[in-house]
Amino acid sequence: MNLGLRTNKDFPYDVIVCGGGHAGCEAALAASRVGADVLMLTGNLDTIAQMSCNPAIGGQAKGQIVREIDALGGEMGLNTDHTAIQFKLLNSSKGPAVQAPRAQCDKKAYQLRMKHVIELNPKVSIFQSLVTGLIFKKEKCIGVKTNLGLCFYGRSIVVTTGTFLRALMHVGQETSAGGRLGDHVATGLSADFINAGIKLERFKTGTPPRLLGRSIDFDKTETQYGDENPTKFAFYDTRTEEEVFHVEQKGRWFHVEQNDNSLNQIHCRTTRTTKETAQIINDNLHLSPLYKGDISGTGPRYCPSIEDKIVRFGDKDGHKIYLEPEGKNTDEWYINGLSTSLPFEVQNNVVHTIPGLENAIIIRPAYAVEYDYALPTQLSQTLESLKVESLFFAGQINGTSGYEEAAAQGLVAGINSAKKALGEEQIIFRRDEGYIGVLIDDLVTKGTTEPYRMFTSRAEYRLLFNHGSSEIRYISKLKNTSLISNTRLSAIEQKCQTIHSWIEKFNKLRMSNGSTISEELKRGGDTDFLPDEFNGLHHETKSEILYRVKYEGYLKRELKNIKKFESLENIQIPKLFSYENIPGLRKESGEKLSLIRPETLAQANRISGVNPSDISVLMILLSKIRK
Amino acid sequence: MIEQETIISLATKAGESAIGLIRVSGNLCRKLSKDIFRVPSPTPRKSNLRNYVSVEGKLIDRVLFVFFDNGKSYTGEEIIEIAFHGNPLIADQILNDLLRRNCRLALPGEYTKRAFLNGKIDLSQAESVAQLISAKSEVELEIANNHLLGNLSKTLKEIQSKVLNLQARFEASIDFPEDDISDQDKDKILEIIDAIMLTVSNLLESENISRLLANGIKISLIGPPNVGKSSIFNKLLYEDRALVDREPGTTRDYLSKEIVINGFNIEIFDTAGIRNSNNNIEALGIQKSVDLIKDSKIILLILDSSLPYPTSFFEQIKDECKDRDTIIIQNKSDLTRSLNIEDFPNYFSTIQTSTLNQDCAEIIQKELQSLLDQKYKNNHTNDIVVNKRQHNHLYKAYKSLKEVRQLVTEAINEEIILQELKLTLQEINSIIGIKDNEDMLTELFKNFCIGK
Repeated sequence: MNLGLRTNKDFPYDVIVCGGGHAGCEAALAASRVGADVLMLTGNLDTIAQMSCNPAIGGQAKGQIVREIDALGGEMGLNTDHTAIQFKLLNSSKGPAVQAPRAQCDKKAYQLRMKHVIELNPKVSIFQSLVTGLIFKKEKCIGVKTNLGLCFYGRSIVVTTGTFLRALMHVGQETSAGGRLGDHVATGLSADFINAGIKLERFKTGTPPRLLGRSIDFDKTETQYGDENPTKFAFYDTRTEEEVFHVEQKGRWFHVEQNDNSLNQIHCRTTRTTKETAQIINDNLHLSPLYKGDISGTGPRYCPSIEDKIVRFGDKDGHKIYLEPEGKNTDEWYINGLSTSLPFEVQNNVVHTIPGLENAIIIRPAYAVEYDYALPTQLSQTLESLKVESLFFAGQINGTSGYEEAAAQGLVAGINSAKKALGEEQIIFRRDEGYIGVLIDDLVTKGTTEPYRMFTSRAEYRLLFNHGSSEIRYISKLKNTSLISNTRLSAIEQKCQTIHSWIEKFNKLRMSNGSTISEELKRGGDTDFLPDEFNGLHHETKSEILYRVKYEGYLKRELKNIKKFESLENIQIPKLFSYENIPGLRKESGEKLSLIRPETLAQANRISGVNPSDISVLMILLSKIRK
Repeated sequence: MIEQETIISLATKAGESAIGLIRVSGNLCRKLSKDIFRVPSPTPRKSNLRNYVSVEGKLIDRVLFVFFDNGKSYTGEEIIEIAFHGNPLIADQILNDLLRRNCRLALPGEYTKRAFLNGKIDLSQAESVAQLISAKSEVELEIANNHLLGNLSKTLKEIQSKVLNLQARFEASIDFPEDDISDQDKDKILEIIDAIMLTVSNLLESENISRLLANGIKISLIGPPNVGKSSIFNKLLYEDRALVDREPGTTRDYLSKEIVINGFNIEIFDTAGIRNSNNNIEALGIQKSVDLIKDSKIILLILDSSLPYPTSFFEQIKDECKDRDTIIIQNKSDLTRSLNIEDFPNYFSTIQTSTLNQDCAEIIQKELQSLLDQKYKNNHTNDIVVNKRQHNHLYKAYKSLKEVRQLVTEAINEEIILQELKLTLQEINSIIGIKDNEDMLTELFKNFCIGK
């Protein structure tokens, strides 16, 4: 039951989530599913689940993450499907492992639906208030202070403050404090983190200008259509209708259209920069705070500003620009590929050199933002701080970028903060289980030197992480949790059984030419020989069976690789293990290990600079302790 | 038990000895005993005299082997010890055969580590074992680094960065499908793979050269009868070892002797003159001469400059001589010349000499020296793969590159190609240190303009 707002120190919340972005939303919802009594604080209720940058969810590696979030009971998948205005499956010509769903969303609809999901959740209280500081008791965080002077107490605190810590925005020479155009800045928190011994560093990121659609000459652009058969993010074959429309049926959410009709999709557009674009940028480089050295933070290499692209790669035959609508009820357009921190007048001139945008009107300027992030290597695999007990971090504050990466961390921090508060065993996501494990292990083991974005190449077992298999991969994790309903759990178990029995059948059934169905499928070509009963299965089940049969050899190889490290994964390192004065362990390795504090020998093995002989030494000492 | 892989190593010192010992530890031992020695259930601690038969069914040596059972061996795992005749070539053949049977070479201190982990060594020794392992690794690293300072390290780094670049090309097309990345040109990719494979195979070849240098380079004196082969052989040895006679066909078998020229170990062979012969014994000797050409790296082709070019002789040997370095010695230069230089087959160089001259041996030696320097010293000595472990990694890298090439030719999906290509990189990494995904991304962002 929602017990309303309370500031009583003796009656703490189980979990307080500071922030209402993509990480905060999933954190609050996941904590509630575990059974925690949750308070979500946000500086602005109108910006819950706001897409600060492009109006799209998914894409390469990110799409797979969203499906994993959905498999674990998260909301992002459903929320995207319900509010999408265009669906596209990326890499559809490549193998299933690297195919990724992506959707353009109605930005406002996305926000409003997510806000309503949280409003309707009986275990979550929300309150608009800016968190200004933390309350400590010894080495432990027990609550937060807010700008109204109110204090809230919680057994676990999850920080999901995004880019708002000491945020500074740049448009040319003009700077202003704030984490997003039109929004506030969080100042007090940074000092509290530093005082608690948590190291902060600075990153920067940027966003392009937004244009008024009626000022764009669309005839001069190319149309990008959505897929005729949309690939959705949520799993529908294992959910009841009530679970699919949980807000639509219970709440006041009116936006019930299911987008199955491809005719309802809205198109995107593309165009290219010109020689004149490059000329203007080159002439005005001295006005870019990036090139003047006014910005000290590191930016992402995969999302450079247009001035970066021109400087590093020249004009080429122009750089591709995507025009993306921000929603159905607005004429605002997002100009993907044109992120910049040049002064407004230059932005204007740059936009006007691009075919189709000659007379375009900018309604929001592009800007760069610099912000503090906390080094993620100071976290354990559960996303709890190694420095301060009961303090969890998720999202962009950990040095990541992207809504999907943030949401995934929110989910993990939400689950573990709740479990910690309720005295239950926490869950660790391993990198051989899916992208979420890769994300968390990379962050806490290696850290990051630029805003971290997921790429499929980061996953060494990527062939096993095809988006369609997410539910099946996490089934063992979902058992004995309340993350998904029991009906959905048994539906997934049923799906697993169906898949396995069909694979067995295909391995046995022989065709007229003497080969088994599996052998025939591996050869490729037509599949018209498949039994009708199989063709009648749900498409998710069918594709999973076909994938596993066709790619059997490659998938087995990945499993074999996982096995190689299994023995190391199973050797736990005690929490208080001391790396000092270990004979045979090199000093620099010892220092790195005491900083990162790996939880297993396998994690220790992944720390750069720790070599195999160090691992041998540790293995010997750990087995001595075990005996 | 924690470790699963079966490990092998040469327990005795490398090189010539009366007996050599190879130790095998791990759960494959029982199977190996069955497959290699046809002893399916060996009695522990009892020595067996058996033939070592390779995977291909070739007899390598007659050996003594002893089996130790699980829990009752040094490492605590099943162990086989194989005692063989102490010839380095036999050791290599057995080790290579065991590698093909899914064993791998042991890391420094690995037997001791396993012994400890399986409880065969007292706990109080734990720390000294740890120190031993790290010290041994340091030593190996140091040795490797010293060897790697030269061209080899440069070559390996080049291979590594080319593989990384290839990886980045494929990854870019997977992870950034909407960025302006032009499709990878298949021919261009194949060209890159071929170039890497060539470099790797040259390195693999260099290991053979290093063995060649250690074991001696075979040089044969070949020619028609009575052109003065034995005289030259004697001159080169500065002794009268071969029987010299004016009657053609005197040398009916071959003689050999080891000499050192400019630091190279040379085994030099005097052979029977080659001609069509009806004499059975002589024909046998001639056949041996022809066979020897195949075993030799360098041929000293000796001709009588007072006679015309012996066409039928050349017909007999030309196939065997084709891939060998040949120096043509035009002997008997003191007599009237009839030999026509245009008739000669391919050769490295040619010299005129007479065994009657004092400096005959020096002239030939000088010519040999320049050939040896050019072929083995200037070209390759800096590029020699240092040890068996490195050779093994390079060999695996080569094999996986071959697989990559095949996948590219068949236009298989990039993610599958990359699964294989990562194996290539892993093998190279094992020799010169790790380049990981971060390095690949650096390469990717350097080469492609990403930024949708």
